[in-house]
Amino acid sequence: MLQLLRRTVQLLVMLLITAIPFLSLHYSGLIPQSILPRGSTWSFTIFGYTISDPLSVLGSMCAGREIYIPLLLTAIIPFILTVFLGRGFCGWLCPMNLILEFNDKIRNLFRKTGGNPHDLVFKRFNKYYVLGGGLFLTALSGIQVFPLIYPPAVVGREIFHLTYYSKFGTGIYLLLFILFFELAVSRRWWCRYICPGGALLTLIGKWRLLVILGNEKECRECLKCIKACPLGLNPLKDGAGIECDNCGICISECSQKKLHYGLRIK
Amino acid sequence: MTIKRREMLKKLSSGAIGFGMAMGGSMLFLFNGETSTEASVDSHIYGHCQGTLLRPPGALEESLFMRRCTGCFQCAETCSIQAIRFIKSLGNPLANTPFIIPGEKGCNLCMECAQVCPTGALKKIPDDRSSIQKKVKMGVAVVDELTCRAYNRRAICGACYHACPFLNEAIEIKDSYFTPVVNSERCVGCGLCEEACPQEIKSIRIKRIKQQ
Repeated sequence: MLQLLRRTVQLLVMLLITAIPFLSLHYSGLIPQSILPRGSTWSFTIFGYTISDPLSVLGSMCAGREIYIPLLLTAIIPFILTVFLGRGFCGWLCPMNLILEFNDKIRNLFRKTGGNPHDLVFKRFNKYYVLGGGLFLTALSGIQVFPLIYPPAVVGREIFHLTYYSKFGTGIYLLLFILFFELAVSRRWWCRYICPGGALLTLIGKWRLLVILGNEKECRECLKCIKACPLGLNPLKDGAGIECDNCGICISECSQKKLHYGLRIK
Repeated sequence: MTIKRREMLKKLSSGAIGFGMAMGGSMLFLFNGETSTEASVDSHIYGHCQGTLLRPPGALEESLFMRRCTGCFQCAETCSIQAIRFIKSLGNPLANTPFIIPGEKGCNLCMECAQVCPTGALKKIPDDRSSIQKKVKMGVAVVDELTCRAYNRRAICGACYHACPFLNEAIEIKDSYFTPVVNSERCVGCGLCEEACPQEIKSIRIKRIKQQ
């Protein structure tokens, strides 16, 4: 039930970012400008209110080396939500996560039919290097680095390019590379080890309230949740840790139904 | 011993891949020469296109614009005539930022793109005649007197004169051939004249100027 809800939300986001360029290209005359939403998950405008990814705000301010208040205000809603709910964007809204989850299903299918994909394990701390290095380069060169490598931004832009110019931009090569790499070399490589946006949201949501809880005494150690976790965590131990994105897959996988969402009580 | 070496390799490769992705992507941009020459952009992507590239109306000065813009493409979606475009090439320093090709589609100065820009790369300018003329300066129109048909007494044209949103202010006519004369003080550089010019190689072009 929970996974059905999550999948519906993910598909709705995908549908929205596909429909927006299409509507604004073909039906901009029929629908009033003020009602028609704009943008993608990178930066989204509806009824004149804009919601931006915190990473885009940070990148823009870092490159401009100044604080622009109207831009800062657009990141407030995602910031507050992340403070309370943690990295929920990754599990519930990110369009790339949807694609990578299906990619992971293909990987499992590949494994079941006798394939033997590698599963390299990297350090989780890498994503903070990418975040830091990206911010440093952005500030140094004055060119926005994150829109070029951050998959949710790239996915939205590629859909826009496809709708407006009938061909993909260059970002599609990055997406194909990630798909291939996760299929053959390392499971869920990008989200676990590389994603700079995930790193930023992890840092913002470090002391989040909504966590995944379970009782170790009731666990029968079937290991289903560990196998299912897209981020490669142990929900019993790390469910309340900083890496968890609250996707809730472990909750539906648990054979004893003993994992649940809960509030962190200090 | 072998296990240690393998772990070492893993650590090294993880760092290398992660950082390489971030570095490689941006290095492509850093070592690509100047940031805003018309020639490099034209030859890279729109080799077929004659003409200059302009920023949307209300854009900040070029280097500041590049720093602010996050490439969210909301301005391009808002543009009702699809004049605002995006560069596709990864190797280009202007990639992922909006521009206008006046030779193909000029700007109709509706000022909607600046309203939607979240980053402040496009300044919000009120949609009335006097403030547009005061604050917008995308470029300035320049007539090529050697190829313009009216100047050479080949046709009574007046295409640019009639296309201009500031009729008789930005472009005035000299004689009964509708010979255009640009008043560079009043011209905002919207590019509607360049779009309207019937010549295959446009006789009136928008030249980008450095903003204050």
